[in-house]
Amino acid sequence: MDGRMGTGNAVKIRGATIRYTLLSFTPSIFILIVIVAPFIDLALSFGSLNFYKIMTGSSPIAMLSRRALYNSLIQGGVSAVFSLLLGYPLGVFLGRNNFRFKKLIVSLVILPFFLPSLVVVYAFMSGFGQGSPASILFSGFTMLSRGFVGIIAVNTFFNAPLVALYTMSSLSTEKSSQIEAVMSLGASDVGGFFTVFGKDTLLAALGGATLAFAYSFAGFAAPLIIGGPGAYTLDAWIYFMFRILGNFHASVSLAIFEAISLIVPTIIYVRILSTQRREGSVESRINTAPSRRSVLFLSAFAYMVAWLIIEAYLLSSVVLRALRANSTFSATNFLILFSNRTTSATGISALGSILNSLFYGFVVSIVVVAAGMAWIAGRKMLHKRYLGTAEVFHFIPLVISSLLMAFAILIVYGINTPQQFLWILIVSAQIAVAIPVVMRTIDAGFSPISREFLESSLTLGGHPFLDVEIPLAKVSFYISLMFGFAISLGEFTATNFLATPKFFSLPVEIYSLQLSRLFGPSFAAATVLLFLSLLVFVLIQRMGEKFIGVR
Amino acid sequence: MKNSLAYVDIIKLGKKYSEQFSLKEVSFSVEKGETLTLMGPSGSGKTSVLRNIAGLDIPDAGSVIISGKNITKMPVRKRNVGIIFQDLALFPHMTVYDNISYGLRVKGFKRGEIEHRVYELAKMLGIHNLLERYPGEISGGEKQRVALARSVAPAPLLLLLDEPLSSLDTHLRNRVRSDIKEFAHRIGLTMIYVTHDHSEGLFMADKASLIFNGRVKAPELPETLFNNPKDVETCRFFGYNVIHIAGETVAFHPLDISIDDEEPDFFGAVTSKGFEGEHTRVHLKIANTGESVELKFNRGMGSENIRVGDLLSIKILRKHYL
Repeated sequence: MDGRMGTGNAVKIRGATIRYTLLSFTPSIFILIVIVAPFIDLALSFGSLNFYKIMTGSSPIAMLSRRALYNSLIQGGVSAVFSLLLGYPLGVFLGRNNFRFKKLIVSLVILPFFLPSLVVVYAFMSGFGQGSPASILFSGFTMLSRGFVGIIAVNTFFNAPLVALYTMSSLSTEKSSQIEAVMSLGASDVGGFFTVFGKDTLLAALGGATLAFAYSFAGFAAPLIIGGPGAYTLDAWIYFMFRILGNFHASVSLAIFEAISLIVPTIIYVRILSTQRREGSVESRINTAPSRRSVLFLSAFAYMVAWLIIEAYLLSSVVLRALRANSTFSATNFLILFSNRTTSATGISALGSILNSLFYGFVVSIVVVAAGMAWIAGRKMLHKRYLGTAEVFHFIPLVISSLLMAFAILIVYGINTPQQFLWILIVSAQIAVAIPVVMRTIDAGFSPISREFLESSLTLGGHPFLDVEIPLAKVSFYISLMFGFAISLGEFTATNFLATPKFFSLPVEIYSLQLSRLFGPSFAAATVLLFLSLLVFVLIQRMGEKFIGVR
Repeated sequence: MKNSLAYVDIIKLGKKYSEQFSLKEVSFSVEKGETLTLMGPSGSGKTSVLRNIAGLDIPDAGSVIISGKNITKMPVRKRNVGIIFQDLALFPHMTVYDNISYGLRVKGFKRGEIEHRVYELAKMLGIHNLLERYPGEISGGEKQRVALARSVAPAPLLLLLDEPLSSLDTHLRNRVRSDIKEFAHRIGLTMIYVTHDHSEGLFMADKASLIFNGRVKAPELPETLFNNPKDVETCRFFGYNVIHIAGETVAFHPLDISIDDEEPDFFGAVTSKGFEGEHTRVHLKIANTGESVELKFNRGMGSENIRVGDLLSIKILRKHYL
């Protein structure tokens, strides 16, 4: 009898463990189904073990593929170095000093990273392009709006805030007594800082720079719009080969090549991440910051001000360009944007694309947060703080870029998907893109909750997850909803690959307007996207700035 | 097991945590309304014993019996064993009232009864004016009282306290520990109190026990335990000196000495000296064995004339042969 009861209990426990494990694997299973399986299917069905031969030989495809690889490496490498050089001092300055309006300034400094990549490209086109105030001042500035230099500038502007954020977060206040100790022993400001924080901050900055490399290596919007064929990255070249040249097999080979190439930076990033204890300490302040009258402080302050001025100039130039029509300022471009002319040029009205974007954002945020909740709930039921390798799945979107993801989804699932359900594929791709960020946001809400809180609740007869964890971490859910929305709103690469005009999102509409040479309305649409993104960013900031660090 | 008369019986509890550390056949009992303190150095297993009793860890062997009921395998939330952690773990998103009433709410008590109990407890502990505040808005001493109220509100059969006063300064700690003791006696609370501070442990105890490396020694009256240490590790934990005189191991308390040039037990050179208010602490290196000892001279014992390097003749007033 006892034995049978024991067996019954064991079966029950095993069944519950399986259920909770499946629950906790929800995001991983999603990534497996939406990204990994289609990509492997694509690779096995249409690729071959000789995929690397796409890079060899003297055919035009091989030559241009080598060129694209070279571009990816150079653009990734140079952008990462510049992001590190520009972002690190910003991060150190903001992390070490406390001053009035610091929260606002930190928010403004990191803003570019939260903007849709397309908006940043448009900012450089309008800010430094022909006829821009900067180009009138010095014609050499036009280089920043096109070609290789323009791409590097866009990538750096986009990623340097990420490096700054990582650096800032690594400046732990716990070490403030150490820096006081080294300075009391006679170390200089800079020497003392590097003795105590050098390793932590540089490692964190390198983590940011590694991401900057991965993002720029698989850059798409900038090479496509301001680079031209000579500056195409692997992503842009795959898109071009598939969409324009119709060379399917070469596209698949190159996709495999790109995914394998991105494994190394992803491993480096995950390794660095695992050594960092980041708590988004935007408010961290080291009391032994250099004197405000020192050359060091004043130089760093001037540098930060310059960064903010450039940022303000670039973003306002998008708005000003949208308001400029026939050398005068008016709302003409906005009127055209919302007229039938836009609809006949792109196949969808501007309002339609905005509504699509809002719909995608809504669905993506709900689904991705639900997946996150399932992950956390399952993990809690299994009494585990981390699931180890299962959570590595969350980083797969860094290896398989948005474009490769969309490519695989389209080939594997797209064929059998009725046109009216195409939005499901778009939303799925956007969810996959959002998963790494949203999971880390949710995790950042739960991780700091002390085990003693949960055990107290348990000994008092309560339900720790519902009574303690959910209320304490609920802000992370709200923030995740908005992150999911923001990522969906700005996602361009995968949506552009998958969408037909009926399903265009606002970024795809912007690009289509540009292709139709409706530049004014295109900038007007970019302005709408800019303001929508700013609205979401402000909401995230107001709700919980510590979560900003997790993207 | 059934013949046991004790209210709480811990019987041969064992749990292996790692190759280096395990709880080994931990056995003791606590009478109803009594406080047993468990003292030991850091890493000795004090918290682990509490976690096994609370059900937060499941023992590999042995039993936990409370009020005649074996609760060893019972889920944590059904045990009705309260615990106060070192950092108190007050829920930061709940007011003081919600924190205290939490255990009653989850157990399904009626609203009126909850209010009555919370106000009664809060009044007893002097925190009735803080009920609308959040834990972040009250002082350290007030937090201790809230944690105590929260733990006792559901009327636990046993309350476990894991170094709950360690975050307080000495003055406040002395006051709060006195309050807890008085409160526990007033409501007849049965407690197991864990600390590494022997003066706190002895003060709180009706019975006291020591734990070293996962092994718990038999509980005794606190006075007996302190005044008649039976082994080297107990002596060292209580701050006794353990030295060797004429081939025998002798322990003595730093205060149980006098300077005696006629019948000294040992001679030693002063290596350091410092005035601490109530007494003067002197470190000495024994001449023939090289052992170091610590001595405390009460006021009026002439310690002000002692200098570093002096050779002192010391008589031990109360020797404990080990």
